[in-house]
Amino acid sequence: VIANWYATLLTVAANPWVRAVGLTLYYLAILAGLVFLYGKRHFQTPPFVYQGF
Amino acid sequence: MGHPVPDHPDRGAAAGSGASTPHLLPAAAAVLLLALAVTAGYRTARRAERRLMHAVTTAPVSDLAQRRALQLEACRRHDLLLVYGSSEVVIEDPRHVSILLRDYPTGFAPVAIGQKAGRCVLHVQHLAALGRALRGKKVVVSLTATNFFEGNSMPADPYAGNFSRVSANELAFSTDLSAGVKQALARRMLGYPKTLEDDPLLAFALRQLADDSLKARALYYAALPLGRLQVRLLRLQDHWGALGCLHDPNLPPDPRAAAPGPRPPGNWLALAARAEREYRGRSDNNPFGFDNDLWRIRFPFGPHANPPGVRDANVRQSLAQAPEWDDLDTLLRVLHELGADPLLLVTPVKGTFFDRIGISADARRVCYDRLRALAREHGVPLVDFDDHDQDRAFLVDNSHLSSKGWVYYTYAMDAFFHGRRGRDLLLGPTPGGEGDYPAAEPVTSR
Repeated sequence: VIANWYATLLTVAANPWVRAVGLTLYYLAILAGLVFLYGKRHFQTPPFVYQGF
Repeated sequence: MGHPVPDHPDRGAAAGSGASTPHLLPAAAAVLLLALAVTAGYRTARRAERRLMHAVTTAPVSDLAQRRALQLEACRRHDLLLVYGSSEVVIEDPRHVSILLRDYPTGFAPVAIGQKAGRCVLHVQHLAALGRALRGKKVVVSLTATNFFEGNSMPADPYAGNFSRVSANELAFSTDLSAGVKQALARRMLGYPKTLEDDPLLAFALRQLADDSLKARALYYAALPLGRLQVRLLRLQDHWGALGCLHDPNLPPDPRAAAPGPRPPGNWLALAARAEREYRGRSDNNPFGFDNDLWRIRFPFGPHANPPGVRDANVRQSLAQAPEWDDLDTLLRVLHELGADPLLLVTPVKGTFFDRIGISADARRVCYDRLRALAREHGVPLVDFDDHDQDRAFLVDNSHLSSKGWVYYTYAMDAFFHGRRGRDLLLGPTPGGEGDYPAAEPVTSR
């Protein structure tokens, strides 16, 4: 069964459209990861204890 | 020497078919999809800002001072008044300005943009970040008199906790501000290097701005296009952050919908008198008018009493060298260059307490006089409430307003918003009349 699945996967992956979509998703995931990694911390300021009240 | 690279199976097949760069189209498609997602997110955020901005007036968003997008949206509304300040602006009170003017009784509502432990060095950054949007816009800046008694610069921790990267970048790469103002701000901001560690481009720009040399100026202008690009990216993040705030399910509905409509203001003096009566019962465990709970926490054994005026020399020295003066001067220059219409309100000193700890009225007078002189120099109206220096019920401690104090503050804001100036900003008897409220002398507006 696994061999069959693998063969099917190879056949599907050989299709240029599938490869293009797969690559697009791959690059999109990289970009989204970068946005997540470098976008979040910009609005996080270190906490401090306010002692004036 | 290296191994020969075997031909990729695709290469031969793709030759001459236009697919010799199989990664190009997917990469371009990914960038395009991301751009579409960002645009959709931006438009969603802007819609939320436009729709929910008024709700922010009744349920102040946390970290509003660090949300430039929301401040900018408030600037665009003719019926919102921006109020910048420190903790006194954000700490809750039953007669806080945002409650007294919650349903737009006189046609506007305040947007309280305060930061605990905030100082002018931070307010000026947030204001500068709004740029030309401030042109012709009425802005109230609340100052705490006691901050001018501190000879040292603001500590690093509260500065870092209140710092806004988007505001800092906006001002560093601003094309609306003069080089002199940017230089003054850059020199102050470089005093807090920890806040610049994650932003090498900002740190670089500030270093060049602080430097007087021709080379530094050239380097700054060389970095300016990159800086403007960074500002654009930070703005997107700012909108995204604002969207997160505005999706709070506890945000109340737009208060205008339930508002009974414009109506004449009530009797402010009666409101202040009632607030004072109510406060008496909450401030009767000490002779200075501190809130009972605050007094118990702060001074469980009472304050250290000093002979009258014994600390005057030290206080005068601190007053002379407090960096808050230069920061306020820069703030007023920024507001002038951006074309804003500001009002300065000052929470006075709790004189009864200062008398006890050895700081005389004469020493305190130095602070009030210098504030007035600075405001006069810039042609900005100022109300310092110095006539409440001995008022037990105006502050709940050394710097935070009581309900009574808020009534006076709100009256001044209301009068200012409706174009009144000079003595008309003061709640009290008519000028020249006699009464319990000796009039301070606000500087005539420009």
